[in-house]
Amino acid sequence: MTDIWSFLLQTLTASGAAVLLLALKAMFRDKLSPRWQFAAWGVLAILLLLPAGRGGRYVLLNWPFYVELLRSALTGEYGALAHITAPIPLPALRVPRSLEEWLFALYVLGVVFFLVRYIVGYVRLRLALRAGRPAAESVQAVAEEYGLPACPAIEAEGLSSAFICGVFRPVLALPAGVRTDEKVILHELLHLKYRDAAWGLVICLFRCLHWCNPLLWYCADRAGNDLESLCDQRVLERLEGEDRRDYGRILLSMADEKYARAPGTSAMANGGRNIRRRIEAIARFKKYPAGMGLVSGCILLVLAVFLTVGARAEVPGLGAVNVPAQMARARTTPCTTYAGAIDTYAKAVLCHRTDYRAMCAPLSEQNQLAESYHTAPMWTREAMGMHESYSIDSSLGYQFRNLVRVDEDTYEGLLTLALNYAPEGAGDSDYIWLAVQPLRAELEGERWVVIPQGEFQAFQALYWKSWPSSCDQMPAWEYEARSGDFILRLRRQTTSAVDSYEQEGNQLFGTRLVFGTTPLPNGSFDTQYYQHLEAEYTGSPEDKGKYTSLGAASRPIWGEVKRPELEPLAPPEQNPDATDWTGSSNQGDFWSNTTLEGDWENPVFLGGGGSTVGRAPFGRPSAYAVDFYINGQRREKLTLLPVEGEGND
Amino acid sequence: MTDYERLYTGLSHAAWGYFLLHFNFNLNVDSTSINILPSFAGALLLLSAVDKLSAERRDLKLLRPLCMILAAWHLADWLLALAGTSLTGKILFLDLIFTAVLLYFHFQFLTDMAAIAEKYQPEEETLNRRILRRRTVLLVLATIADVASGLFQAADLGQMMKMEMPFGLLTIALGVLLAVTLIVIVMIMFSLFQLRRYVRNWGEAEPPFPAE
Repeated sequence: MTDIWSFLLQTLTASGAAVLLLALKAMFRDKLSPRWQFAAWGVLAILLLLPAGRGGRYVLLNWPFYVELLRSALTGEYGALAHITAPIPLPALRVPRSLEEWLFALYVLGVVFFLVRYIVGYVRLRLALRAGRPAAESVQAVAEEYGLPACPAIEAEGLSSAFICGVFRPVLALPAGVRTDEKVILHELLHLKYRDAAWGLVICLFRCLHWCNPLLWYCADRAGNDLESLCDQRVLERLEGEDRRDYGRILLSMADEKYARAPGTSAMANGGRNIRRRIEAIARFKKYPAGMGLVSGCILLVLAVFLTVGARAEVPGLGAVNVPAQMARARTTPCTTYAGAIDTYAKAVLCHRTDYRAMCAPLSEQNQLAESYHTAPMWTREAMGMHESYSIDSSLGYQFRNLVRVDEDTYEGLLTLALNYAPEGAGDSDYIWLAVQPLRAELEGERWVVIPQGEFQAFQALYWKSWPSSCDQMPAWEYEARSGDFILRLRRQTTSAVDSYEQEGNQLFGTRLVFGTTPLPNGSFDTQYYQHLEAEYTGSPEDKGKYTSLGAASRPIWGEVKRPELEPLAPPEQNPDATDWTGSSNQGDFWSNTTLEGDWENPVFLGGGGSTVGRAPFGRPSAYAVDFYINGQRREKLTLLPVEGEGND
Repeated sequence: MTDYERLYTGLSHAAWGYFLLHFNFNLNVDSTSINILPSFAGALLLLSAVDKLSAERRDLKLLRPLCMILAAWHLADWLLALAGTSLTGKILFLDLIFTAVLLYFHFQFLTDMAAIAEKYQPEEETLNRRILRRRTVLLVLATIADVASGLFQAADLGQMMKMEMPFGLLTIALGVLLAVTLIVIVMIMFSLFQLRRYVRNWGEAEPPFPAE
């Protein structure tokens, strides 16, 4: 926790879970055993130890949203997000400069104050016990009678009741000058056996960390009391008849005793109100049926799983424009995948939604977005880097082209949108116009964000009003090699999109798939690739007649692997007499043979095609292995290397 | 004196209550799905069973408020289903309370049924142990289903559906889990009917109480 907002997020998240646990404990007060009653606090302890809001998730209520809304409302700041790396305060070592920094400093001082107070209290207690005198006999006798481990016992002046002090070198402290009942010693020895003083220490630490949260202090009190009730239950399991009633009377006699709260101690007396609850528990004492442990464990397991997993924030819907709320909701609905971030950006452009853009915008741009949101609710073309004359056809959705992984936390490619008609001054056309913008997706903390790398440019694709699969007019990765009179050129393109199509309509009038414009911030891409190899003849026209056929077998090479050996080019088994053939595999291999006749057309197509990437690597192969065949004979084993250029960057 | 008629009726309600609580039969009318075996009716039958059997087992009284919670939850869910929505999964706070209540209910109710069976079964019979075994299996299966749904939430179901093989295996595993759970429910129902028969036999064997 590095600021007051992250502390607020952590303590509110734990408070929500505390309310649930208190409700369940009230419901199961007379039904589940004291073991369950105490173990239930373990779920709260887990939540207190886990950083709240991790992975963009929340527990029970969308606390990250409420904290950010409060921050924006009080400070006017949109470019920050409460982020917790550890559930303890990690203050910056500098003088506070704002009210929120002073508040956090005050919180840290409070933590230090309570820590020091507990440590001093514990040290003073240990020093006081040093002045006492050993009193091992009665303790040893009780330990032997009930088969329990013993520890050094000290009689000291000024103690009102017995208690165990210390976790690593525990001591049983007994009040001097009075005879301590053996049931009290039994109670304390059971604390010793189950190392309950350690739980007391943990509870004290949580008190220090959340010193200004009265609900969590109340829970700490209840946890301490449940620990005592659990110990009472253990005592009663070892006592019979009148001894049990005696034990209740001893507890009653302690109702008015003062008690000190010190870390690493466990005292039987813990205040009048708590004693009353414990006596009620003793009155309910029974042998719980076999299997109580199982049902207790099942309930706790389900609670622990759901409360630690949490829930994802919902994508902001369309409502009345409330800028602080929409912006807070947007930046607390993180894109958890790069594909989700690109999908969200694309839909922000398609719908002109500033809040969608805020979901995938870096924190440094949030204030600017909020400012523009105040003046105009729609995300303007100017802000998205698009010419005023571009009219986007949102029904076709988007394609993300030539997706490439730059490093583990960075991906790049081209966002491609379809235009309704040709841009201003371009003339009319039956062919589709595309608007293309280079984008980069980066990981910022736990959010993927999108940073445009340039403005939208329009391209005309020679396709009739539909998405082109491969497109010569669009940038592609290009590879090249020379063999004699031929230059072999290969173009590769990929298209990716998060599947956003939804069914619309009903059974009566029929259904159809439409592109859904709600962002999918956790989505993943479906990617297809397209590749195309051709051989360009550069020799003299008179020599063209020497060539009767050209063929190639090709395979992409990924990374630094050695050039693979390819199978010899041969006609397909089903048609061994074929002279022209082409084929491909879904691993990206392809092959082709083309007969050349007369003054054959230059360049010559040597195969290609496309497929879904699936689990194969996506992006840009490092090279292509191509076996080049002339007149049916393998001429050369080539390695086509990338051509440096616009499309390859 | 034991009121065998009351005991017999209570066990009938318990068996049918379990059936209605777990089995749904949906009718689609005008694109609205109506469950004609509503679970809230099952919860109300179980509430009636708890009232009728609590003279035999005092602990059953503890289940009265829990039955009311189950009935209220299922009634709200049934009414919302008529409006084309559902209560489940909307408010995690209530979901978790409901889940905890249901797990405890299965445990305590079937434990008490086993205790009644121990009293009324013929000497050579072990119905009580069978009920306890089925109770334990049901608890474990219900917990696995709940934990799995929590973990699905963590892993994002949408992402998991992209993974062909693991998701296929997961679907099969969940299908098997559901089928086994339903089989266990039917077995529990039959156990309760069997217990009802033992109670009737016991009542017939005992001489009638003289009329005043």
